Amino acid sequence: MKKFIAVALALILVLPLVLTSCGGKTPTKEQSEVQKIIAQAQTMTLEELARKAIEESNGKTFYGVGNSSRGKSALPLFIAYLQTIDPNYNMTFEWQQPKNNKIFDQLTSDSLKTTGTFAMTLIQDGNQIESKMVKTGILDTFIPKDWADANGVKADTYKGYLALQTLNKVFMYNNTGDKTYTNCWDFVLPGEHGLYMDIDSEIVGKNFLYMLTQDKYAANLKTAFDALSADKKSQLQPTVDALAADAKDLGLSENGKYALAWIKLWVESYNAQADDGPICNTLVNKTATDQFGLLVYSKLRSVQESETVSKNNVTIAAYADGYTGMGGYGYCHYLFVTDNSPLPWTACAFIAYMTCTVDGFSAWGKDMGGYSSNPTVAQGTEEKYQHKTNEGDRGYDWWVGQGQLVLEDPAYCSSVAFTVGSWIEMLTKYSGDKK
Amino acid sequence: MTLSNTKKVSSWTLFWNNLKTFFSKPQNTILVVMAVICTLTTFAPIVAILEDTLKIHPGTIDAHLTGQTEGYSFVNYIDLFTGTVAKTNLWNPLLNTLILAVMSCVVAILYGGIFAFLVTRTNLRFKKYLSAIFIFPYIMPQWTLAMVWKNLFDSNAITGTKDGLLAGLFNIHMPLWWCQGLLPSILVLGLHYAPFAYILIGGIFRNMDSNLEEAATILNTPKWKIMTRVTLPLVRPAILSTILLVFGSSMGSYPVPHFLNLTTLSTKYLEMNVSRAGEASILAVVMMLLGVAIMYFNQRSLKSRKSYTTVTGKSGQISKVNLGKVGCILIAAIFIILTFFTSIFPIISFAFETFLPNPGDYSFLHTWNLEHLTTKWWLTSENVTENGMYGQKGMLFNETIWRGFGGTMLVSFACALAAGLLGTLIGYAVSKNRRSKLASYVNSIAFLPYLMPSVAVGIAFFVLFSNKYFNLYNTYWLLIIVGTVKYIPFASRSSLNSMLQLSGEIEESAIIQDIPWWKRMTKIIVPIQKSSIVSGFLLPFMTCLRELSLFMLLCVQGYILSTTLDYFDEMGLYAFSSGINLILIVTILVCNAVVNKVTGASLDKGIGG
Amino acid sequence: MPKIVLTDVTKRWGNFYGVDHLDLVIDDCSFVTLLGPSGCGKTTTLRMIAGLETPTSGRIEIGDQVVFDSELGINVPANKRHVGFLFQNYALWPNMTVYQNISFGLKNMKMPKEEIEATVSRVAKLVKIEQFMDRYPAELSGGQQQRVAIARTLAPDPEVIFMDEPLSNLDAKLRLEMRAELQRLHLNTHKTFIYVTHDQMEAMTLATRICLIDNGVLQQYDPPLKVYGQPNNIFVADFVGSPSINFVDANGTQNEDGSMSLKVFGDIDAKFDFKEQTDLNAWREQEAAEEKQEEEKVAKLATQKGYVEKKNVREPFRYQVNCVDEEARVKTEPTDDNFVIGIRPETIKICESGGIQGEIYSAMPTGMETTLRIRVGNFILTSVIFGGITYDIGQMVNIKFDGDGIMLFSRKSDKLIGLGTISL
Repeated sequence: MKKFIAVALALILVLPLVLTSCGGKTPTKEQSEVQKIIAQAQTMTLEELARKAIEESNGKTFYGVGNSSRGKSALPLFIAYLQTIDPNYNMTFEWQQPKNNKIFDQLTSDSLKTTGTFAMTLIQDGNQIESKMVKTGILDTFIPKDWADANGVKADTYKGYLALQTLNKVFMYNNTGDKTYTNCWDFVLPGEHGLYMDIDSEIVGKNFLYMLTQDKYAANLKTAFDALSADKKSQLQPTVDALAADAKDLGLSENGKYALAWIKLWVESYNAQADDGPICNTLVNKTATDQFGLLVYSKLRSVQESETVSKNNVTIAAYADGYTGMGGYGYCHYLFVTDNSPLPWTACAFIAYMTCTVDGFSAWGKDMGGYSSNPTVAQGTEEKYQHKTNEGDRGYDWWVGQGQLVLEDPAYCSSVAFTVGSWIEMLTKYSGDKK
Repeated sequence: MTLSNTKKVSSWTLFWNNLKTFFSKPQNTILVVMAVICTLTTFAPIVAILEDTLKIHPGTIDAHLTGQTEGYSFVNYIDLFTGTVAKTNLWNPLLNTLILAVMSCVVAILYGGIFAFLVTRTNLRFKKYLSAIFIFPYIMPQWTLAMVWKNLFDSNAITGTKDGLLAGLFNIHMPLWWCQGLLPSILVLGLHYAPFAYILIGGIFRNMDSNLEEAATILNTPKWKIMTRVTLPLVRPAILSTILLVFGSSMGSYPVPHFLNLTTLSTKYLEMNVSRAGEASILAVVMMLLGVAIMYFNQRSLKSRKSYTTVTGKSGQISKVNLGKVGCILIAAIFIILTFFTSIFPIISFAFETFLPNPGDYSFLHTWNLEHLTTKWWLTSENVTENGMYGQKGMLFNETIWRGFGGTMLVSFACALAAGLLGTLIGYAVSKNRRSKLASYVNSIAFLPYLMPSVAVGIAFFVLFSNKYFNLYNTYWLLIIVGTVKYIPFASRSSLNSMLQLSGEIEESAIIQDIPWWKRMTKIIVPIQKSSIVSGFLLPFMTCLRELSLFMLLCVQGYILSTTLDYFDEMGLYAFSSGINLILIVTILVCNAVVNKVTGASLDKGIGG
Repeated sequence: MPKIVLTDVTKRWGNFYGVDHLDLVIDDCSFVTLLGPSGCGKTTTLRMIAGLETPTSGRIEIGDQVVFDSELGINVPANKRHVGFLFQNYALWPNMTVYQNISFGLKNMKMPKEEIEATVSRVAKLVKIEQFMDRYPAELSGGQQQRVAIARTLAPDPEVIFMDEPLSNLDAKLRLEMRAELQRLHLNTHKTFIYVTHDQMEAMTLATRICLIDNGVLQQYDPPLKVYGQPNNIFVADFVGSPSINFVDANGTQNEDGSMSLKVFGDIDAKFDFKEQTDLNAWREQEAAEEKQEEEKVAKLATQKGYVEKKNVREPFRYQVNCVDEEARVKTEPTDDNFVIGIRPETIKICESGGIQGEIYSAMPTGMETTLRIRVGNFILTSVIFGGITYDIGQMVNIKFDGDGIMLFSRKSDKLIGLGTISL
């Protein structure tokens, strides 16, 4: 045993030295090679980029990593596009989709190499991207010229990230009973338990809660609160009042207490589920009477009608007449070039292709529930796939406007992650025993 | 006295000569090599994790609290143990983990031990069927029973979800503590590991010289006293081994508590990885310490002066307890029903699930209308999004699944081969040098990875092999290395047991005749102990086939079958996850049957003895 | 044929000394048995010579070759010592046929095929197992397995053959048969045999020399009859011989003429005449000197690095004096005037008159001889009378001690003082 300990100690002393000597990346002020390429690429059209990409990557293998499996479907379309320019072009590819939060570790470890494995990434969770990827200099934003034009911004001065698409998670409820939900506060009334992915396994869900504390959304919550019946108000008012001091401590605005109240009630009541798929499967079942959930809108498309299961068993809360308040929240899939990208030109071209053409976006666009960040592409996609008429989707603009979708702002999330974030951690999550 | 005519030699020559002598024995060479390998593979990840607990991770709590983005600090320890959320993040999960691990051991030992007794020492009926079916829960991925549990007991009224089978068909609503949380997690893990107890304890019951009990009977000792004073102490080593295996495994289990809504250290570990990565690593350290502690207690209690070598295996006559005409059928019937739910029902429900139009859509059972069944999950041969296929081809045509299957087979074969080979060598070398400290060091250190939670081992190897020089993430190499390290104990235990049964003279008689080591191994030792050595290969193989916790952080979905399964499962494509489960179970059963036919070894002989 | 020399060989596990500073020389072509009770270190000694066990210290030579020397760091592995070893459990390889078992080692010596076949058939003939060549060990009886094991040991033609209780797993009749065969084998092969046994009969009948070990210490190393007739100490006297030797407590002093006046069986006067002139005082002095030397040696060893005190120290041998009533026997701390007389059963004769009177306690005739237990006062003596004479239990007889082979031991040191005659 003594030997055991001695060896262990020796190793403990030595290993950190070894690891630190090869780790510890310091973001430099100087522009990296990839950043220089990006600066050039931002002035180019898609076709110019494509030529650069062909030159760079013909016959090579392209590695991408992402939170969405569909990068795999988009890459062949991209290659086909390049082949329209140069029929002799070919490129093999591998698209990886790590589980859970692993994508951050994977990108971090890949960043240690002089030349990385991954050319680019498609990644979600603005908060972690900001603190773990962008501030550390692991990922670089590339804004395609066409995209900037379509959005009326300038590529070199644009400050945000490049989003591929916005996805929405919306409140929906099983309508086989009599119960209806007409206000976003209805979901947190005593006795309500929404089905929701746990905020610690689906981090964008936590970002949604952070966003509620931003002035705009807190104000929206107050408006909705004011629209409640006196009876419901009286049930909620004590919670709201009790949190006024906390809101002040956390540096939130006057309406911050409404945000904190909603967050507290939600965290202490939601019924955690492993994934949106199971939540959807539950809600569309006729036995799930009076249950509701907050989940990805697009899950509904995969329901097959049968005796006990039907899409018609659920109501989208925000679509119902007289609904007040937020209808759900939106989060983005962002696109980045890795700072040690082995194929930076190709990565830029691929990113531009996905964000600036309907075909490039079609891997996502063909299904409802994902909205391209490029207005032109969004419009083209809707014209091509007709989600509004076919599936009753009211579209991005409606959701952001009337639907009061709470949109993720990476910088804001990151700034409150350890203020509001730590406050949330102290809440006791619902675990079923209070029923 | 010829001492006077021996020349004095320099101490260096003496040392050199002694060294040569030492290494001229292959078992010594093996021990030294294994000591080095095992020390590296065991301590390197531990050190990597320890380093991680001190490191500052950008974008997480430690960076926030220290205001730095790199460097080292104790802030993670301070915050985890004394911070405002210490109770939720550490103490409660720790308590749950301990209860879960201890109670799983109890359930596994009681259920498996009683079953082992009934099968080996009584005239129970249908033994052959029962003992084959009993080990099924271990063969199946551990969360499958959790899934079955949920499918059975979910209810709108209680768990706030859709109705499960019992609620839906018979309107039975079990209370919440029965539906999710600690109790079902304990039962599921206990049932999953009960085959361990059965294999280990049954092995002793089977070989136990019944003279020992008969001697007590002749002295007119009451039956219960024989049981508690003679029989139980004799199976104590087996019970201790079971505790060691079950405690370590259930402590680190991720999927079961995850599915059944229980917060344990391993589920907390994954949660905290996002914004408290360093503190999460401390949880891994805590889990490792628990593993080491349980091993220490185990070894201490095995070191007692009592010798259990009275189990000779010489007496072929085992006296059997007569359960009575009714008893032997009644008890068998009870076990047939129990094993139906733990072994047959999951398979049926997986098979059934692959024909349901929507996950958990039991319309068919309400209407008995065949229209409410579908073969689309198997037979769809093109890429469609409609009908809930999520753009996947049917399982028979799905490249992702079959690629995963290939990957799983590759990893399992490689791990089994490497772990089996190394484990056999360790078992051999240790058995040859039982008194030496080096041997007991190698024996313990090789066992340590088993006791470390899979998730933590996975993470540690990920950290270790993701740097400037190697980047093994998402390569089969990484999976094979990790799997091998983790599964060596299976092989080393079964090999050690069989080598100890082999009289040393068998090999010595060959040494005397100057037969080289490799020939002794291949021509004498391995052929004689063929069946248990093959078992040493079989167990890692089976376990590897369905391993998730260990591999889930080391590769992307679709790389191997179990992560593919998990992926489809989380996606809600239960038909696919059930189908993959079926594929896994069938593969394991086929492999077991083939190996059994060819070599006479089988899973239930695994760690026996 | 080599001579085997062990010099100061010690084997210990922690503070347990398996073999304690053993010196031994085994001559060419001799048949030496290592004899002793279970756990005395005899098997360990054998295994150390064969190279299967590594001595803690000392030196072993086989022929001209030093095969082990702790100071030089020499340790020739077992496979290079060219010895044969016959194991107690035969250690036949169960996965090979008899032929394969015998030929496996030969094949490894890169012997041509014809030569292998010739050798196998030669040794098989020697031990009469030609007809079993294709069988597996499990299909043979114990005796046949034993023969196969011998054949396998002989096949590579080793210079020395070690045998570790090779007959202990056989039944009594077979054992007797194999014993004779081993003796023939030794004669026919002209090899050095070293044979471990705990059965003194086996040792007596087979060996050219017996090496009697107890508690890791060599007790006596002599030809069998000398060990029997002139044992070094009470332990040896007791260990060898069946039925066991009779021990009688005696007290007394040496007379001027060298004879001893003793009191035996409590209060009977007896006179002991040494066969060879012995001066008791001189003997005691020599004894004391030897003991001192021994102590000095231990003291010197104790100063050396790595010395470990022996835990299993030898206790004075507790010889058995048979009594009717064990309680009645007076036990005192031994003094210089306490002696033990050893009387072999065959030297106790029944006579018409004279001697002392005893009562027949039990009589066990076998036809060839009769083993009698005779009660003298509180004491019981065992006697063997040749011929088929029957005695009645309770019958009174007169006995005397015949011959000049009566042994006188010092009770204090257990050691033999001398042989002689005793008259009552």
